[in-house]
Amino acid sequence: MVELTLPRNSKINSKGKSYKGEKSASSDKAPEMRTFKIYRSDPDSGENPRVDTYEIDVSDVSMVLDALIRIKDTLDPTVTFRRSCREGVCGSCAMNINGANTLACTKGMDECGSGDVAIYPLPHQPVVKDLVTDLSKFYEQHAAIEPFLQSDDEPEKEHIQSHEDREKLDGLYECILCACCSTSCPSYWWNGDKDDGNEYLGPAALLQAYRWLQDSRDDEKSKRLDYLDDNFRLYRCHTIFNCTSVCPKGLNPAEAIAGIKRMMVERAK
Amino acid sequence: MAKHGTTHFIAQRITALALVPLAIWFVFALLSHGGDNRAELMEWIAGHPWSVAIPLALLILIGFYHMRIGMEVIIDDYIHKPDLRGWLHFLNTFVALVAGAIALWSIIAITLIA
Repeated sequence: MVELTLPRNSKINSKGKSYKGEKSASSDKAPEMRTFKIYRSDPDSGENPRVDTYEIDVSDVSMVLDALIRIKDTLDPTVTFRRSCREGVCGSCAMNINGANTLACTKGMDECGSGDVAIYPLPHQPVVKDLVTDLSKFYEQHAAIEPFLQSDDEPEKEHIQSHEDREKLDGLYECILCACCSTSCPSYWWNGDKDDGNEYLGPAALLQAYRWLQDSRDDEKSKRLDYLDDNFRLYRCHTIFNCTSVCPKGLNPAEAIAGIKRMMVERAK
Repeated sequence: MAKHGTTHFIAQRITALALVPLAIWFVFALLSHGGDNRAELMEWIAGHPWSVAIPLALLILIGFYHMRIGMEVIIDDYIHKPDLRGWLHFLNTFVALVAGAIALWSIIAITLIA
């Protein structure tokens, strides 16, 4: 039947630890203590996940990623998370902050309200450790839509594209594959990796599929649409719009999916 | 029940559109016949084949078809065991066919036979 409850080994136990930090040495402002509740999981240990509490001075911290780095640096070096560019370009630090998927590096402390800050990994993905999830399936789905130019032309120099045609790709090509959108989608949670041959590709892969469907230089539109014409791959999108509301790059995967559906209907006429 | 998603998608929307006027008509028709007894209702259907019996038959045909494809989406969404999903798809089609056939036969019987 429908799977609404968490598997037994995913339930959070009550063994969370508490850590209390001191006033920041690098800050000349009055200390501003904030509490972070961070999901801690180490599947290899066989123990269930727990939520640890960290209190740190954030008077000189601007972004949530900076706060995480301070926690790792000063309180608990075992807190595990991915990060790289710290400017919203690489997509590594995607996680669930105060209930919404986003990039820790572009989420300001001033956007976190006044209460505790809850930090969890991206929902419904296998956890490798703490905030690090296994995105293999997500990347597989991105590869499945063949995200590269397939043209019949072999120009001597380059493929020419008009300014108007190039503009059609704005809002599509900027995706950084952080997986915030797909892992915020309930339909993707339930159908992203359902069973053999039945899987919803998710908003991120579909946004990229649409990016190539819209590319004036690409000659494989029909093949691309054939691949997507499936009850599961495309039509599990039930226009929930979580993808659009969480995208840290301000993109609109829901609109792209609607665009693919429109192309499908027009092709069927 | 994978594949051919677009046929499904279009069928769902076209039947939904067709059901809007039919359902509105049906609600108003029922309201205006709320106090009728059985004989009067049968006479209402049999006596107006074009304005009552045919819209009623269309409502049943399109309604049950729409219900079947809608239910199929729900089963695909929520049922995670492939075998059970297969059985429920079969049951869904079976129920829609049988219930639709009984309802349609009733209208034919009232209009042409009774």
